[in-house]
Amino acid sequence: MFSRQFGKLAVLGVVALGVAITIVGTDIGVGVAKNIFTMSNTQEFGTIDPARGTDYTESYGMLNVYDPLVFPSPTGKIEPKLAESWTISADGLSYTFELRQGVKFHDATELTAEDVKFSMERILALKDGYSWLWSGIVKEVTVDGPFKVTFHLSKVYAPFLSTLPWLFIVNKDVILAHKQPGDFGEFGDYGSNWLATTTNEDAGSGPYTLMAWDRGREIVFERFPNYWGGWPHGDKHIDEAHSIFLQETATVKTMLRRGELTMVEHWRTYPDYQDMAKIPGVEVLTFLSPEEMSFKINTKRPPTDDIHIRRMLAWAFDYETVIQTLEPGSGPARGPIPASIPGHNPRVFQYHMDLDKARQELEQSKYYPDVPTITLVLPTGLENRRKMAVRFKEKLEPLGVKLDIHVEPWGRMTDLATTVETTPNIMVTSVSSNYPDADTYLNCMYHSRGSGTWMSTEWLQDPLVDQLIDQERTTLDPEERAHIMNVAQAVIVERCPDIFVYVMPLRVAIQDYLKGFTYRPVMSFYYYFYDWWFEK
Amino acid sequence: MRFSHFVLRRWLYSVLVLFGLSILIFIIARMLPGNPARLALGPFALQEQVEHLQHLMGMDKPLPLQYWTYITGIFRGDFGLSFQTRRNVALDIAHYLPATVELVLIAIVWVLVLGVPLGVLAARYKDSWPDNLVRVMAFIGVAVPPFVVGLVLQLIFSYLLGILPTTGRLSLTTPAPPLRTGLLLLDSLIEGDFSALGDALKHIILPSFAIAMTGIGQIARLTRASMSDVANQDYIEASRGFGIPNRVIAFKYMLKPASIPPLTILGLTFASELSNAFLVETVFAWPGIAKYGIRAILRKDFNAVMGVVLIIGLAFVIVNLIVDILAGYVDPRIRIKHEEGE
Repeated sequence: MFSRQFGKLAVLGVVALGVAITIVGTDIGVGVAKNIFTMSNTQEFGTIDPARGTDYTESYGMLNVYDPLVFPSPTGKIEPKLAESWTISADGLSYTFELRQGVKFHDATELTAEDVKFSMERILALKDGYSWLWSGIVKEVTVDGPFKVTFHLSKVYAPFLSTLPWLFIVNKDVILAHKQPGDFGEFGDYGSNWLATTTNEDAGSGPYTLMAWDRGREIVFERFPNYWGGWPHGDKHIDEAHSIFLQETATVKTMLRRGELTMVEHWRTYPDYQDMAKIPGVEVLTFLSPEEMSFKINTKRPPTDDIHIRRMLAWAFDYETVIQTLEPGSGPARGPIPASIPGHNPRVFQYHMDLDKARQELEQSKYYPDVPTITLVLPTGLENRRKMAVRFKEKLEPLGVKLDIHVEPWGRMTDLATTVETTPNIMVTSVSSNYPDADTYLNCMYHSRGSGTWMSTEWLQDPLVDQLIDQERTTLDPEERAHIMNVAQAVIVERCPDIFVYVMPLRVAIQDYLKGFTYRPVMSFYYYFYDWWFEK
Repeated sequence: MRFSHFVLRRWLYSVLVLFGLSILIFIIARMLPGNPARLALGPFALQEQVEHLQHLMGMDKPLPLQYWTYITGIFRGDFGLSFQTRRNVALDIAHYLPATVELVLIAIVWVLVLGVPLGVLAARYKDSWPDNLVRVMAFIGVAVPPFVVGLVLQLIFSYLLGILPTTGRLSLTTPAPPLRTGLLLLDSLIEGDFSALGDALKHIILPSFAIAMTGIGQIARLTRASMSDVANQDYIEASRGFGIPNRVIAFKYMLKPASIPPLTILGLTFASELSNAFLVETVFAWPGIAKYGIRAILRKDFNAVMGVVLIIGLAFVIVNLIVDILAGYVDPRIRIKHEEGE
């Protein structure tokens, strides 16, 4: 009996699969009536709550659904967005914004100064996302009229305007309509649970709305027809943008070849982009990113606490080979600030490989001739950086300097960075900008208050550098501030806390019918669907 | 001991196993390198922010208390908050699990529908070319990693032939059926939405087959070996002597006793398919629990890691229990053995 049943089951199964395969037959083409844009992502969206998101996917999710007051231009200049104009008080403690009138949220209600005040108060209360930019700095926000709002700072903070692209304005009424019991009194949970769970609603005024969110697979944004900025390219604009979570690059290439992807994001390897460039109808766009790769040297741990050892390392590094063979398309790094960032000092000293000078520095070291082994740690999964480290080791060997290379998971690296003792002599990492201002690098990497993070494994803790950074943060005159930042960069380079290797290239592969891709030197602000249109 | 008591005892053992697993994974998840709060908040977060999130997640409490809070929460359906999604892990699991369950179930169907008949075929034509062919296929199925199979299938059926989709569960233009079980095939059937059903079937064929390849190979080999053993039994010889056709002997008299060993390893096959899903879901951008689990491990999202491991552990326990019961049903000797207290 069993065998008969089993036999029937097997036959049924085969028939069912046969039917399934028969059903299959047509291609899975995308719609023709709408302009559907598809893009790969190496990581999933965790959230697009403007008070919570931080990483690159979350950032461009927020960016397309919510509008900020100001927006970075391709050169990093801050331009009006929701704010039409602004004034700064003479003491630098008050920033007053005149808002654009007639801006509609996605629920068709008008965006007002109350919403701006609420958005800042919400992010500061939740202590999440980009709140670190304003925590302890924004004292109060006052509404001076329906379309006029003032931020009162507790201290002068010169980069304040540059940070505001990260303040995305939420619809206060919608958020409060969805509040749940929470820690914030009358505001409940500030609607954070709703924004964490909704899959097709948002509280924004941006050019796109959240249409659907299949976690683990894709997030879909839909064009907001009543966007205040209008749609200058008419029916050529993107109607639906699908951001698909695709880690496997082989899959990405197959989809790109089949035309199922309009864009491949910037996280693939150079050889992968070379392959993609060969696909008919596909273009690879390359830009110099705001991300600089450096070998960060622990200035407090022997033997790299000796400046001569650090300089020896900087002279011994083979910059040219790295840029030409391992990271083609990258640009040489000159000091700690990439050239695309306002405030970069183009005149700071730049090392090149010179083994004679390396030897001279080595001989001046207090550790010479018995230089202790130098430890170097780099993150797992970055083969190019491992090759750089190996090449560096080869260059140091003739000098009698031993380099001990370790590859660690990223979580372990962040743990190692928390104390001077556990931080290795060299950590290989790259730092990007969060706002288009040199301060984003100087403050996080070199000021003593930033010590203990993976960005500041130099442990520079130099009183002069601290003083200069504090000064530039409180100087409102742009020229004077630029001068201070130039001096700070020169001093830092003189201390040699890093081997500044290269400015990383940013590459995206696109179908050639996609037009309007605009690079901006702030993370993810180049993934602004509103810029783009189809020219088929 | 009655068979039902045996099943009950197995179930109680399973609860103990899950309890042990929860302690083990609780400790391991917290030993992973990196501060999950900092990983979640991003590189620039202030110490004050990190401490705030650690407090929200209960990380400032002693470990035993954290464990107690976690384990008692599970009984209320509260698996704790995920660092990454800031949602209750139970919600995340409810979202991701059905996709993996659907994938693995269809893979099991592949294993049964292809593995067993291939094994029978190989045994029936032992040492001839069909047997050799099945053996080579089984060897390839076991030896080649499922994600490689997945990539090759994508290349052939998606890129070269263009007849099957590359990734996902549904095409971009196919509206998903209303969410009832989370199993798209079932939901579209319930809704009577045959367009979605066809589209979902197209999408599941390649990833489920990639996952099933190992199981097909194992079951085919095992079925062949069992069938060969049974073929040497006296009663089979006697059946042949009575002139019963070979096809009837194979399916009626040989397959049932020969199906016990494959059936008992079906539980293990299920486990191996779940582990195969971790990479295959990545290749096919399949939004399942395995991919969610990988991300949770990389980000040290320990509540999510705990949730995924416990749910997979639970699934494993349940499947093995079902296999035990089925084995008792198929082979009365197993039932009798327990009922006689041997």
